[in-house]
Amino acid sequence: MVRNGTGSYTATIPGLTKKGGNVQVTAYGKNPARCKVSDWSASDSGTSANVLCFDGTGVAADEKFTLAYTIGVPMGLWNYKHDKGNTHYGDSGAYAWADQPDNTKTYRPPHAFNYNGFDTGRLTVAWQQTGNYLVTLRGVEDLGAAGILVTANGDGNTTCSAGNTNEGYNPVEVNCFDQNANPVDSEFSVLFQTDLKK
Amino acid sequence: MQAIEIMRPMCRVENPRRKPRLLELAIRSIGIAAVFLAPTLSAAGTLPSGAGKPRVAWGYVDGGNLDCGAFCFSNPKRRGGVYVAYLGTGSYEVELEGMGPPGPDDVQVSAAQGGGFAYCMTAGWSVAHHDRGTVDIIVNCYDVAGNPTDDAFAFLYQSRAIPLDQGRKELPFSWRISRPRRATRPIPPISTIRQAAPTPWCATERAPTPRQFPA
Repeated sequence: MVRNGTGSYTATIPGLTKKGGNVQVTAYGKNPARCKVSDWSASDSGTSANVLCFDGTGVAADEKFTLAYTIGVPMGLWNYKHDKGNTHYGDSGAYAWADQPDNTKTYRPPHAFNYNGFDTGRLTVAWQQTGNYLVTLRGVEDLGAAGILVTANGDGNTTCSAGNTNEGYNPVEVNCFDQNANPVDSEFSVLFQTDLKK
Repeated sequence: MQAIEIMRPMCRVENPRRKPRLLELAIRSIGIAAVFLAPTLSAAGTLPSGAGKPRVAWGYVDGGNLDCGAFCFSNPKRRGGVYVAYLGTGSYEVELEGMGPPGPDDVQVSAAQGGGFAYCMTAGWSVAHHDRGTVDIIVNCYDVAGNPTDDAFAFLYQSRAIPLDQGRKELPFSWRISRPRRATRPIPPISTIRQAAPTPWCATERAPTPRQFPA
């Protein structure tokens, strides 16, 4: 872990040299703070994620945080593909990096950052209005009981969160805001966990 | 360690949408054991020696709804329940039973109401040895001004138990800055928890049980 400056860190995971995946971060502590992943990349030595943290007023600040990275399978789930003896079941999930914040046309995030455990095709992202996006898992009508994690990406102190996921609606709404609570276009990473069987 | 009896409402939460069958639950527990193997093996090549079975729980808390029955959860660990306590505005305790012995672990939370600016963060978590390893996670949510606010959130807990004779070698899947020793991991003051007044959140109350928290 390297501190680049106030509220700016680079976390390196040695040995993880494959490009892609999904990174989630969560600020940690008793005072209001939030963290985001500005970007991440893979090299011959490992994967590095740049993390930015802010205090409750949106000012860059040194904060504790937790970080989780996954590639090829969603966090917190066991994909049926990897269970050689039991191929008839499996909680499934998905993840995507929405990397085109101002693309007003529906697009598919890059393949390496786009995983769908249901094997129904890559996730798509549709810009609805400023700071408002719909992430769709094609061929999945209802997510069932779902947990959806969202982390804002890119520069600045934007923050993103999922819409109300209580009903397991698909597509899932993601909203991004600036420090003044105004909607703002932003990159984000979304990760789905569901109890659906494929 | 000091035994503290905490008097607060705890809600046993079931996913009202669907009750998994016993066989399905058993299958899930098998899956948990391998959730981290694929990314770790494919990317890093080897698993650290002494790595135990991964333990995972995830779910959704409808933190802004005063009807306990509206909580929506899923915990793929069949041996334990999931409970939530409302500690005060924007502050929640998520309790996960049966998560096994402590090991390197990670918590991720994300606001999920989506209607406006809000964010949630982890204020602390602890793993107790009773009840086959009960994990307590404190989640706080804030509005744009940094004031506590009720909000829905999603959570994810991941750990890999390490046999006691193998030490506590860190695994590559998660870490945190300035990770405190488990015994000193911050949690809300006991007084805060004890003073938390019962709220109408719970349709049914769970009988208080003696709990162990760091002194």
